[in-house]
Amino acid sequence: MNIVVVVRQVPDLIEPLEIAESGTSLDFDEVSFLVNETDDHALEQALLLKEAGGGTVTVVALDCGEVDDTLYTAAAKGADKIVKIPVEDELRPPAPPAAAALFAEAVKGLQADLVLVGSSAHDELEGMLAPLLALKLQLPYVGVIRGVRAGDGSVTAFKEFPGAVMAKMNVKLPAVLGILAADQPPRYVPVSRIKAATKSTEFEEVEVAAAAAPGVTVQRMYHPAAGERAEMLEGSEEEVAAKIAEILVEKGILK
Amino acid sequence: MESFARPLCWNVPHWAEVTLYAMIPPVVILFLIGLWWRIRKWRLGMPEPGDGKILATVVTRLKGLLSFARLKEFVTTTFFQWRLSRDSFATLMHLAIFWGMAVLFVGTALATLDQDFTSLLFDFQFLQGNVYRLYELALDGFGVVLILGVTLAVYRRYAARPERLKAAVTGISKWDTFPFLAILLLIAVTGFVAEGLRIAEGFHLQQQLQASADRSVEEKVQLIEELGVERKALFVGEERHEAELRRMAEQTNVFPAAAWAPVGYGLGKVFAPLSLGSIRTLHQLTWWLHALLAFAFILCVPFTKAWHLVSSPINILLRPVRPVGRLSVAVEAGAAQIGDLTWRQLLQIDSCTWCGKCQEVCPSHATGFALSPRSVVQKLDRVMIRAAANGAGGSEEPDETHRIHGDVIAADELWACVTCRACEDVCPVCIEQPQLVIDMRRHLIDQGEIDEGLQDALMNVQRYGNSFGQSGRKRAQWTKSLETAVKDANKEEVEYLWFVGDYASYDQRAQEPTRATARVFQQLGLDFGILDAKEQNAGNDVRRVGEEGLFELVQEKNCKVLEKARFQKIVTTDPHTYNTLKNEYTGNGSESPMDGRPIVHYTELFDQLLREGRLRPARMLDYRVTYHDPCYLGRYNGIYDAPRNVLKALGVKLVEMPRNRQNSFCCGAGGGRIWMKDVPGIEERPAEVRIREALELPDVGYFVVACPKDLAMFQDAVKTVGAEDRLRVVDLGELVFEAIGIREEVKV
Amino acid sequence: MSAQDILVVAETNQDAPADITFELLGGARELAGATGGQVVAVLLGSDGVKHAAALSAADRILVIDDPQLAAFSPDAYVAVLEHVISAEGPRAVLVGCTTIGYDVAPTLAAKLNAPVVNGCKAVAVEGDALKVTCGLCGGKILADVAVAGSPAILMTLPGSFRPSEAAGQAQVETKASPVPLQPGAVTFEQMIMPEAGDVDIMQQDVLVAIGRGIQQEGNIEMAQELAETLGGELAASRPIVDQGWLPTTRQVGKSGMIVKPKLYLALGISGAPEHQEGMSGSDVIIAVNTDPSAPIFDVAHYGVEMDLLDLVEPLVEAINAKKG
Repeated sequence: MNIVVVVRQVPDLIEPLEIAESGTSLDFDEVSFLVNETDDHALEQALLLKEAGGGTVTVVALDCGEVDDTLYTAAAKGADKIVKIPVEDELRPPAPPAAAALFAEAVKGLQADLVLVGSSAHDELEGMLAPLLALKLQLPYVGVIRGVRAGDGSVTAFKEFPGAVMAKMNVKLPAVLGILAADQPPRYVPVSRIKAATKSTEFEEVEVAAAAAPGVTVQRMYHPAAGERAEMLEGSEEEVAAKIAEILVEKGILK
Repeated sequence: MESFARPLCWNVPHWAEVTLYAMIPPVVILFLIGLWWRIRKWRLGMPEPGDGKILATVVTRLKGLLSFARLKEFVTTTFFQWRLSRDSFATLMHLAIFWGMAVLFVGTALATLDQDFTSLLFDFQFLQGNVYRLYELALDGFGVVLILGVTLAVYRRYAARPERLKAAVTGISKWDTFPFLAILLLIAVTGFVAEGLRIAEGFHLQQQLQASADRSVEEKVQLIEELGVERKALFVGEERHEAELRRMAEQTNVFPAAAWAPVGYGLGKVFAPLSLGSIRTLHQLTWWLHALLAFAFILCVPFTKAWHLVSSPINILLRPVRPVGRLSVAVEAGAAQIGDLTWRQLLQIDSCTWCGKCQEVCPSHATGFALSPRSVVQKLDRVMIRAAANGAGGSEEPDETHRIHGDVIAADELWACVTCRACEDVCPVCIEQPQLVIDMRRHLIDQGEIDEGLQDALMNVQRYGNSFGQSGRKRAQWTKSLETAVKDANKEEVEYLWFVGDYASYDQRAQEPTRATARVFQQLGLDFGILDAKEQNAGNDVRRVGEEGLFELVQEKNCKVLEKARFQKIVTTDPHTYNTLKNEYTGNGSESPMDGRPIVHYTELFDQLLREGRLRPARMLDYRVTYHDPCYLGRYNGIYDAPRNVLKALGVKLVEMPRNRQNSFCCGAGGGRIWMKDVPGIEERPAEVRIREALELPDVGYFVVACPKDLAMFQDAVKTVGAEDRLRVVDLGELVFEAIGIREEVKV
Repeated sequence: MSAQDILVVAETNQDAPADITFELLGGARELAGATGGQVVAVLLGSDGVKHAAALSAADRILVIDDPQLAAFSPDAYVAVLEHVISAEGPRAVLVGCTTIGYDVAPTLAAKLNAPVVNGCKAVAVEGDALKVTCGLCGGKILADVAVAGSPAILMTLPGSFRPSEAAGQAQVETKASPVPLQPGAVTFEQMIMPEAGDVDIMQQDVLVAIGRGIQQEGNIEMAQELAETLGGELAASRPIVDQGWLPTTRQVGKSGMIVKPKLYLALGISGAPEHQEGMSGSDVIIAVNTDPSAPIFDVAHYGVEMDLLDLVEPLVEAINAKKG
């Protein structure tokens, strides 16, 4: 089975996020990027499928947001081929519709049986990459998947519903799946292996034409009001209890 | 002048002597086979990193013995079993067996020399007269010592049976011990009995001579010959034999040295009532038994754990010159097969006597983790035996028998190790168990087989430079609430560069003590600065987890930053950071920005400032405290006195816990365990056991630590144990802070 | 049917309308007030009629009833909704950021060539456009977005709008699928329910978490009563689980569960970093601790400096009083 994994870089939320002078986007000069968590799970799922049933894993990424380390790590983990797509602005990830168009062009030539992509990313504002990519590729799609088993000409995917309920879905191949979590958490790959991969891995580059701009305009981007220390409730036990009950009603917790 | 010599082959017929000599070649051959069996095991191993071939290593180490310290260590450890000294019973027992056997062995060797060399070639015996008397006395005395030692050993192993000697996993067979002890005991017993019987025969002869006191010497000689005393030993000249008979006849004394062998003499008296014939038959039987036992003992050496009397001196001799706090790397991807360990490690494993002392002091074993350092070593020995039998290592592809992971040594066992070095420190034959564990962990890391918590920590260190997964920019946030700003050592020149470390920087429990230490430094006018966001986890525990590549990465990053910074010395409060900076950032062959610049722990610095009179407590603290020695400060770097000196200067009353200094009991955080998830089924963690130990001390209200990880572990443990109101875990820096009068009081 | 209508894609969850659907109806009602249109709820299913009545906060309820819609199928949902939205021509479509919404909304927008925004937390009419406030980057960033053109597809975060369950005079229209539906490449096989065992604290809306301040095992009963009164479950910090007073399934924190309930009531928990990691994402955190400097107060929204043992009983009474 030829599995293609789409990975993208997203801003690291551990590091402080600054707003650009324009006030309508993040200050990407200051952003520290890391691999989108669900994409990392998609890669893990692909590797697990390959280990269970053979095949190849091809990782496709935009050359954007310090992606090289992520790709070397993917190679060290066991990806067979790495394809990198040059983009205009190497610091600013394109919006989902544009990203979907770029990825679709690159993936088309790869004869994928199964395309795995992270179900969501925390910087997706104008739609979502995974379903849009499927649409561009004219392949069936189902997302929010926790775990995939390979079958004959199809796969079984487990789609998460609220309350820890799973829907067992059969998906005929070729198809695109939006992965929320792999059957196992992403593996650890030791630094020495990443170093070795950095020396031995070669990226394939695929030139793809840039796509249409999104139909949504960001007017302003800002930080939510800073969280304060707890508001202390004073008074006797009964008074405090009454205040808490009031808060619970106000917050819609007590109905 | 009396002239008598050691009797040669008394009462031993020629055929017996010939047979005995004829047995020597097969015994030697068997011994050599055993030796080869051992050597074949070591040959499975890798070259020792930095040393190369076996021969080169041996030469370097022999040269090393030229240094007094190394020689002293070698002699005290090898001949006086100094490493057992913490256990007086074991010391007594082992010294008795060792010296008993050593003297008997030397005695036998001298006898052989006397009979088969000087007497044979030069017709001269040096074991004669007073020399022989002393010889008899010494051998009798040490024979008793040996019996005592073996009795103690038998008592301990089969009657007292301490936990550490029970249910041992062993490489060879658990029955290995019994015949060995039995042989030792019987060698001594048969030796005495044979001697007693010989002396008893002497009594008989003397009686006969006395009964014919009026006869001439010639007649007496004839009488002795008639009584059946013949020239037994081969190659003894007729002349000397006759001279000896004459001496007996003249002096009416068959064995003039008999009284100098008090045990033999006493036994002689006991056997004397027997008939001469019975005495002679019994004597020959015991003589044979004694000889065969001696051969058995020789064969025990390569084939049983008696081997340690050869291997442990070699081990000790081959101990590397590097500090104990520096890990070595033979295979960066770790030990997957037995052959991935170095030959010196295999030699160590081969020396194990499964005495269980390592297990006894292991904090993980004591708290129910799946780890016994002894089992690890013994399981490796088992693999080594099978693998060596299946084919020597080298170019051959290792097969299934070489495997050391999975069902041989489970990942759980390896992850349970806190690398506290208690085992290594106590091991009588100098096995380096933590290095073995870490070599094997490297393989687990290479295969990505790790615990989630550990994975998070390692990925955090890789990405953010700290195990907390926080932004590097927040590393110096603890300084924000200080009244006086802390210098940025990246920008300004400082005398002391404070390498703060992850826990002291990020852990909320440790931040207050870190600030206390900073305020003390500031109060004393110490010129110091920090690296702020540019500091990375120093990598001590990253390395001990087995993530060598990541260690190299952080080391490289830190060195780059240190190269640019201008400073004279480095100070840290974290013993783990201290260890790796001091022992691993330098001396690894390449140039390091640390070269020539001292690295001190804050306890050392406080101690020094006290001596210089710069640190002067404004008031004496009247607390009763106990102090916990951090593993990486104490056992790894030998710093026991500095913190105690500081405590003394503060006026507190230090009450030691039973396990102090090199016997300190690890908090359970070391070797990366602080990052790993709790193991289910552990009723009490090491830190809790330790807190209970402190709670036993009368009226001790403070548990003083000198390590930020200890602070986190023990504060947690005090809560779990429910002793927050009785025992307060404080950092040494906080006490100093209080004593120099910046703050009123640390309240309990 | 008007260009000012607000359409809500309703969902059911375990045989009842999902919570988010009521929130969307609440949001739609506000928005419709501003646009002057109606609220139209669209419910897809094979037995949708039986849930329709619960959605009467809408002005119209459109039930598309088809055996092929018995279980969720992305293709079928997209096909039906594409048709319905084209036919209705609303100003905006509110879809939840749910397992169904994620699969359907972006594709739908692309097919309709309509603008779509993800992470909607608030929406207002601003001239010709809709002004949508979106949460990005795990809530660390907010973006005000102008969405021009209709229909605007708004993927809405749970908890953004006050739910509306108002019983109105909604008109229920039940139709067969307007487009032919065949099993596609993605087919539903079966639902797998979670293994029965201890409660899953990650799925609870209300957690009463206890720490060392509970002091004795016997006091847990008291906290249990409070949890029941609130319709929640008990959780605990590590020391409690270590003591064996509660099973590990109840442990919150680094080595336990990461929970995000609507209410996290921390009783006698000091809030070590390891604990905070497991609960700081909760909607409302109320902490009760005797130590005013306890770090739990850094993450809590409301704090009480008091012995929990003194507070629990009056609190149970106060809550019961509110519940009437």
